[in-house]
Amino acid sequence: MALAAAFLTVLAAVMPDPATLQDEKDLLGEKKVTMKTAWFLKTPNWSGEQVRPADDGEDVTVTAVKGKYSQVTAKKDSLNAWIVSSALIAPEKFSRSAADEKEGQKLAAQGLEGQKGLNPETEKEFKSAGGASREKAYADLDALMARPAYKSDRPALVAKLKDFRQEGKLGEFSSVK
Amino acid sequence: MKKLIPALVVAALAGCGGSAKLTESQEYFMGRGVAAVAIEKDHLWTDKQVEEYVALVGLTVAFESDRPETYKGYTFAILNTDTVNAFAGPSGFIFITKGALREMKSEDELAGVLAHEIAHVSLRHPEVAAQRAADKEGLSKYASAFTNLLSIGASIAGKPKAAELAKEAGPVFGKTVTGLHQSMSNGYSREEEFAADKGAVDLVTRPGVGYDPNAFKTFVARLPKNDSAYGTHPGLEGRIKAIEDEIAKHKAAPTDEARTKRFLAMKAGLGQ
Repeated sequence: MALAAAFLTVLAAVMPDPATLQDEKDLLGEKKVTMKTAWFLKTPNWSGEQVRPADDGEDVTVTAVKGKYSQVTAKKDSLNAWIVSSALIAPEKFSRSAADEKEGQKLAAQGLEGQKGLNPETEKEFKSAGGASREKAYADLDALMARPAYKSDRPALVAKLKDFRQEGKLGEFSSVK
Repeated sequence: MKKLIPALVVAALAGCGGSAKLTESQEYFMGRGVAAVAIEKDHLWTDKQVEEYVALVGLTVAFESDRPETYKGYTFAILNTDTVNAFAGPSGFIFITKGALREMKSEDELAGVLAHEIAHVSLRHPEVAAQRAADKEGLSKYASAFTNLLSIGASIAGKPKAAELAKEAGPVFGKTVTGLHQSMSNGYSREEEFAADKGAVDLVTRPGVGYDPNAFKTFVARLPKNDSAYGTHPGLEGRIKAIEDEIAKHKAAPTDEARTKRFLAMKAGLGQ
């Protein structure tokens, strides 16, 4: 009896936790990109080489996970790359982006505007209810979001941040390792 | 009849018990709403050099965080007010006031404060608050209604009427984001603030970042306790001690002179 208990103890110690296995399984397989600004990377590091932007709604297959990055194969061009895991979602949980104007127009043409989500239409109502000052606030916000730091291509931003870290002795340029 | 279809859709969803989880896109539009309310109230400080500098410090930290990407990326906005404050809204909208920038003495202090806000975003505190507010104000029903309008609308009325639904949802959206702006600019719960402090220290000391976490502690300790929204989050007794305890667990880089020099050059752009 004691032997059986000891065996079970050892077995429990060497067997992976079923919950962990489930978690890992959940991270792998078919996913969709659910962000507008995510990029495919050559290495699991944001400051590494940027391969191409990921499209919102793009289909990928996750083959491995390292830290906060997932290694994926993109369905449309078989690209093998890394992407931040939080940009991915299970296909059944994905809903078409509210900010995807092309898709929105297509749906609108079909009389299906509602699929766009709680978004530009609601925002438009809120904006017009607030009058000129709110219109201006949204215009200022849009102008801010269009500044180069946010809208320039990602490789240029990454290069700029590298110069910024170098000058400030940050990250890989820090004296503290 | 005009009001009937949206009302039926909302009622149908309410009947289904629906406080559906907000999507990334819906969180983004709530973040924009909170941002618009903040900008309408305090206006933006739009010196391009100051803006870019704050964005570069913020992105240096944000890209190394546990949530390096949000729906449309991080946005760092400087509010043109003398109040000393910083706060995070849903989907990576981070606000810092001109008053807070003026109180700071180094880039490392700025990085610490932005890291605190980014830690809120990584821990999804703004999104949890947005979901809670949307449920409370009844906005979730509309969010859910919009998302499901195709199937439900088709069965009820043949053709969905999203514009009419938006008209109903607009005021609810407004009430929700206005309330959210108020609560977010006053700070999150004590537990959430402590978690963000801890997250800030962890973030700035990550190998890819390398700011001095002591600068964050120094800034928080220096804040006037009576007239600073950032320094008087309720129930934050022991905050400095908790930050010190966290710093002790990490390898801290010293504040670098080159960084402080460029910070002071930026600060000159703020004027008096």
